[in-house]
Amino acid sequence: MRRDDVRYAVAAREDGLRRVRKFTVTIGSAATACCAVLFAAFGHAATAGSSSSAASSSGSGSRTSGSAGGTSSGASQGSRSQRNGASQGSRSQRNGASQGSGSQSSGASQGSASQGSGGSLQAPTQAPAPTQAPPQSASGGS
Amino acid sequence: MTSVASAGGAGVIVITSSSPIWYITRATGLVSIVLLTGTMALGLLSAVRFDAATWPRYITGALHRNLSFVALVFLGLHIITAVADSYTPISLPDVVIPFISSYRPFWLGLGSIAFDLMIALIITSLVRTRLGYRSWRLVHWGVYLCWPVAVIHGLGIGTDTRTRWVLSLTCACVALVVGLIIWRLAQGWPSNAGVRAASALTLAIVLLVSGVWLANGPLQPGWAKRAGTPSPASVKGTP
Repeated sequence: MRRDDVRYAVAAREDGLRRVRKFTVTIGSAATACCAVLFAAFGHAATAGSSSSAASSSGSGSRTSGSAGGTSSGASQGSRSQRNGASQGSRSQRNGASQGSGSQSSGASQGSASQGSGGSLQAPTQAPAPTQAPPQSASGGS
Repeated sequence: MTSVASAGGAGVIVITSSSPIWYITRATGLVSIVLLTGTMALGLLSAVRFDAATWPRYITGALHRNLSFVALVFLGLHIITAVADSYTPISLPDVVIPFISSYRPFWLGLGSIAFDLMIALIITSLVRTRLGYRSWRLVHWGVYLCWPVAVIHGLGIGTDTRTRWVLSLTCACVALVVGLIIWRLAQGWPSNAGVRAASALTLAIVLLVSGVWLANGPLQPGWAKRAGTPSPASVKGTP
């Protein structure tokens, strides 16, 4: 192989590897951007879901927040706040505690939300954290 | 920050301080699976010796290597945030030792296995020249276990599995890899028809079993409880 050919091949390879590095940076940036978008989407969904849940339950006479019946069946139901099957949310329920309940909460939130206005009160269906959640998972009724 | 809002005494919204960490965990998990799929796809393209006029073969290899590091970075973020999240009892040993976690042990254990395999793959690739090609290749075959295990981990433990676009994204990743594996089986090993047939049969069985499991497991209500999420009754120190 002539020396010019070798130089040309080396230059082409260097150019290709430079393109690969650029492309890698682009992919990394795109992945970071995707993460940011997903982060915002999850947060937005949690906020919107919680707001709609609060609004819908305010006129119902019963106080319910969280899981739209306590099921984990919907990916976007209720406040979308379950970690146990629904997808987005404020993570007030993540761990399957709310399955089939919908009308009771357990753990730290129990009792606090059922005070007050009477009627068929329902405590927020917030599941307690398996570990040190109580400081974070404060809940409150009116 | 703990935010407690009461909408006219009618609703209680609880947003905990670790929610952002949870969002990052979910986001990086999804991005990681896409990046791992890209890495796997490039590896398979290398295996079938794909090249074109504008895409020489060494570019596939270099991009495969770089993308695996990018995937590792996002996987690291995914793991760090999962451990840092105070809501789920995931500790550092849970990350590398499978099936010891109290939070969805089996599905988290699959993630641990995938992570361990990925670390092994990357380390052996870094010392490939010292290891020898045959040994490296033997270890690298573990990728055919690592990627599906990672996908099943995501489907089994993920809280977004039932979300339509997440499911579509996962299916697209699976379709891409399965298509490339079929291409590899069709092109490679001309002298090993038996191995190719067995591999194709294994692939079909894995796909079938995974589909049945997905339909009857994560896509059904009540999956979280069946997946091994700790129940509130088992939580200590809860009033």
